[in-house]
Amino acid sequence: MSLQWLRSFLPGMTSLVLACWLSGCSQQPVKDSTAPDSVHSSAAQEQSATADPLQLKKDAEALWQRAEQQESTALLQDAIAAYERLLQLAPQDSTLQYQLYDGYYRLAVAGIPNVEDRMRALFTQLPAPMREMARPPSLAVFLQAIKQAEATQQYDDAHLSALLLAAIGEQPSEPATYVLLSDGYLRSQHPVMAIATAKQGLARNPHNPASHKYLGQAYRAFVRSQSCLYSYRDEIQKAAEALRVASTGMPDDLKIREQLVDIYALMNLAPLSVNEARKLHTARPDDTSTWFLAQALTDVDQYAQSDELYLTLVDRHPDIMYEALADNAALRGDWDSASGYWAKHFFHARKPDFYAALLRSVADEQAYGQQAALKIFATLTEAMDVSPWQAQLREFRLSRLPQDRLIAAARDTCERTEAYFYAGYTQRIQGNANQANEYFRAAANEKTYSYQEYLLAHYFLKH
Amino acid sequence: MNLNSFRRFGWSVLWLLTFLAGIPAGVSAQSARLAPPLPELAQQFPATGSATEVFRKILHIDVDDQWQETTTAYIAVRIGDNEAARDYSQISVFFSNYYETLELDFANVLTENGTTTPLAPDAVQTQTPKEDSFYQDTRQLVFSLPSVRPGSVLEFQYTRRPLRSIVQGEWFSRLTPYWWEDAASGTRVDAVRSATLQVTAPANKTLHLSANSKTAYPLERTQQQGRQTLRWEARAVPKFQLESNMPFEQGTERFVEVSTIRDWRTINLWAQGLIEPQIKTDAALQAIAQQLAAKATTVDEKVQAVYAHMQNNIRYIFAHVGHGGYQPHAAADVVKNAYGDCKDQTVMVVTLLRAMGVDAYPALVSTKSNGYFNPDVGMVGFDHMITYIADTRSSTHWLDTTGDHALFPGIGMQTEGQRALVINGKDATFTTLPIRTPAEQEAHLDLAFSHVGRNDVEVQFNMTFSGMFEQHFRGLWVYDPDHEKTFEAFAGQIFNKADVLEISARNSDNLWQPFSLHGKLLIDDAWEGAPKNSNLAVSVNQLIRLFSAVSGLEKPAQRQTPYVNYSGYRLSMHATMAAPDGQYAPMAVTAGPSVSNAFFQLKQSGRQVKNQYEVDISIEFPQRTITLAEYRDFYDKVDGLEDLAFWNVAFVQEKASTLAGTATHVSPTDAIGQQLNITRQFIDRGEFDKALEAATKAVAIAPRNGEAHYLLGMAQGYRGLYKESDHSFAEALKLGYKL
Repeated sequence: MSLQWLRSFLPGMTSLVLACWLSGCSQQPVKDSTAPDSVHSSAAQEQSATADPLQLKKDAEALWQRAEQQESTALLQDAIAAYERLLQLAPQDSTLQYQLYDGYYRLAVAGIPNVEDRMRALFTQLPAPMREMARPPSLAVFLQAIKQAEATQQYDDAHLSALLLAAIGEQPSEPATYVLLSDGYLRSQHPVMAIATAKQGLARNPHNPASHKYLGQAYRAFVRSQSCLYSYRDEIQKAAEALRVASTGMPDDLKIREQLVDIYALMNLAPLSVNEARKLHTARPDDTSTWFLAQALTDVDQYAQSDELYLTLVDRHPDIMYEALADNAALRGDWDSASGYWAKHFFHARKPDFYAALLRSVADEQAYGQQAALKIFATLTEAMDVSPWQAQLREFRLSRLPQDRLIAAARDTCERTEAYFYAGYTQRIQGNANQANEYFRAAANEKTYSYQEYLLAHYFLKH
Repeated sequence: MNLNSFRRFGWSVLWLLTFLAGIPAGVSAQSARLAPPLPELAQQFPATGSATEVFRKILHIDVDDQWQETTTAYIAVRIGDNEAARDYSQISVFFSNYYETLELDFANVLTENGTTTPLAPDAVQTQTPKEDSFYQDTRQLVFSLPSVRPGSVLEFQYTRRPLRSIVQGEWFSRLTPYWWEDAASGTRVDAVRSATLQVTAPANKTLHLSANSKTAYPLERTQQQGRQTLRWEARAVPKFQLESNMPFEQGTERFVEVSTIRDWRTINLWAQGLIEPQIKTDAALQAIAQQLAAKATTVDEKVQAVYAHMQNNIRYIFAHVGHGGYQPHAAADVVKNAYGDCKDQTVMVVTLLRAMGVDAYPALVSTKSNGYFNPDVGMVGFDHMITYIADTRSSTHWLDTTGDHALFPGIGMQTEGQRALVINGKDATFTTLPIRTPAEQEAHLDLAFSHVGRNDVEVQFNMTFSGMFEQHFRGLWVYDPDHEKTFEAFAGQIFNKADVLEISARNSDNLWQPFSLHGKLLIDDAWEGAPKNSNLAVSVNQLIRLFSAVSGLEKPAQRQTPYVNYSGYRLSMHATMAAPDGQYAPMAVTAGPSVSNAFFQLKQSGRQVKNQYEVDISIEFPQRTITLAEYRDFYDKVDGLEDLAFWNVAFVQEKASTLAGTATHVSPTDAIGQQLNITRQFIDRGEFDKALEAATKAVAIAPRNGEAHYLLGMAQGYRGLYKESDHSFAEALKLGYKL
């Protein structure tokens, strides 16, 4: 352990100044170096009553160093035994207490039995400023517990989260606790708690990239959990900022890149999204990165390359890939293909989505005419459990709801995008080109970049 | 043992050797040369290395029928280096002008080119040594040799002739092959290649020898024509190195002691004959005794009354006169003079005590300064006299009134543990004075730190003493005319960077209360001011530096003799460090460890007392002899004290404000702001139950406040109330709160 933190108690060169007060900065006599190579036996055999503190300290430091070099828990235990004896000689020494506590902490994390009680007892004895700098004992217990959970794949989330909350109660300044807790909240799908907790961690260490990572992830998870993510453009922006900082500090963390691919796409920063996706795919060429890259390529109109990548995945993820291929085909005006891909999507999809049916109706209509398209749409959506807004969309698409009522019913930017697009599309089908373009422009102005309706509005404005 | 004691003992022995010479005062005849001419001698003893050595010493003691001696000493030295050249350029020979005369027979220098240069006639004179400031009969013959350089060889010869004896009809002497030379760094005692020590005396008395006199060097004993001759031939006697705390007896096996006196009763009777007649009361003494007895009923009170009377009425003077230092003045004369040396004071004390019905005797002592005192054979080599109180009703048995307002009973570090001969005309053995325990030889330092001004630290100090420390510092205060400056420099050593603002002493004249020192130090810019941390420090090394000589130990490779702690002692410290203000709390960043080994016991402890920190340090060095084999370990252990962690007490501002206090002083207009602040602080501290309570209150105060709902959501989330938490967050977002 580095004891650099001690400097916080020693402003400037205070330690040296203090030593000078006491000793006059006199040159120390040269001493014989008689430290044995192996210090374990001498340290272990000494009785603390007659122990030489200098020798003990030398032994303890050497053992500690070897333990770190060899990553040896056994050596660490020996070092701790030496520090325990040393502390008996100077029980008020906070630095020794801290060092010993750090040893107990490491042993507890390593799962050494019978350490937790000593660790907790010593933690309570640490002076407040030292305690504020020490990692909390419950964090060590958590780390051991999560290790066991990972090994057995049996997670007791309530227990794990309780340990982290206890750790915060013990030592609220440790950023790592907040990072871990934030991760827990993310996994249990409490993104706002994840945001709040990650912020707590950042407040304690603004330079910790892990805190930035979890904050970015939490923001992304939050916006992704919303029915209209474009109602939270600030949060999208914050996610991007946090992830960028995290990416600088943790350039090899692919999870951050995944997040950035998505966030840049949401922000209409397609070139950046492609860049991140390529890096991700190069570093980890799996299905997820391939899918991310394909999506990003669509955003820069590289449909052919995008399709090629989707097709490599279609056997394993047919419903998703056919939907993606259908979207790509629609955006380049290949309505027959689009209609075909949608048909395949619905063949493979376990639980068809209302918007998939809606978009399919456009492709089918462009390919085969209105009657067939709407008949299929009506059939597909008939048994679907839809939201009130989706119900209104369906009614409008089946000509059972006037255009004005649909537009008036839209509550947010996402619903407005959809309302304007389908109003425009209906006008276009009816031959009212000017009116149609007016609605398409309105849809485009909503800047819901990742929405297919937004992209199709642009397409119809061009064609 | 200090260096002077050896030198002093060396010459005191020499002058004792000579007092029986048969040549009357004022008549002198140059002694014959004892050695061959210098060039010839130098060839006989060619240089064997570059070290300075006494390559030839010849000592002839001729004792006449009156048992008075004439001593002729010849010394030849080869100079090895510039340091020796400087040391031997001026040579001093001490003598007592009461007992003897001293004459330099010749002195020459043989240079490397073979030229012999004699001492210039004006380069020799007799002086009174400066160090003994009052009446004394010690003199020194000083001469300065020319052309003393590395490679030079020098010789000198002197003769002591007697004026009178110490003990009539008896003779005793201590002989040494060494030459004790005053040096810039103290006294040097170089190796001796060849020495002849010869005594010729009448054969009508037995010459008794100490044990080492029979084993130190080959002894040739002959008798011829009614005279006996003892001749020791010493070869290759190693250099005698003087070291701190060396055993008194160290090297004494290289000395030889010869005496006509078999036992110490003879000395006792001799001394009694000199002293007892002076212990006589007269009207004045009777009056004093009555006056003192009137206020003292117990023996202890009488002893204390006599002690106080002596301290307040009889001034001590250092005197080495009156039968060569052994015959006191009569008690009545001491009263009249109102002054006296140790034997005068003792005579008066014994007279008064006896007049008051307390059985008391004078006692002769050889102090630590006097060097080793071999009890094997009888001889006179004492340098101090004190009072022995034989009365069993007295709790005090030894009294020394010679200190200037010394703490009762005045027995000091020079005397304790030493052998004393109680002059009662009976004792043939010595009585050893008791040695105080380490707890009775203590220096204690009390430090009280406080932060003053913006950046300074003030330290009040109190030093209290007992035993040798009390005696030493009281003596320094009383005798040093510049004591304020001396003690200011001393107190400045508590902290090297400190200014001494005040210093004062207590009880420097008090016979019953120990002397103590008090004052105030200021350490400028000791901290950067609030809100920065302040660090204060204390260490056992402060005690060592102030009160102990162990910080200047010789390195193990250089040490040649065991190290003796003749008196065990204890050093202790209590430090109280106050916080800059109520916002600060102390913490021992590092603490001094306790150490226990064969050489010392160091105990250290510290504790927080409210917002101040207290440290106690004590180190005890027991009375013991550290053998040469143990010395390296001892040195390392003592040296290791420097490397031990010191007490570094940091005062750190407490981070958390008092929330309850904040809450009770809420301005109504800012109630929600305060409540939100309290909630945030509880969350920051991980006190989630309290945070939940505070957030609920915040929402109650301002139900349209988005942050209140957000904080409530956080508190609920941390308490595991996720459903409620989601609701609160949704509410916060609805109210426009930005995540």
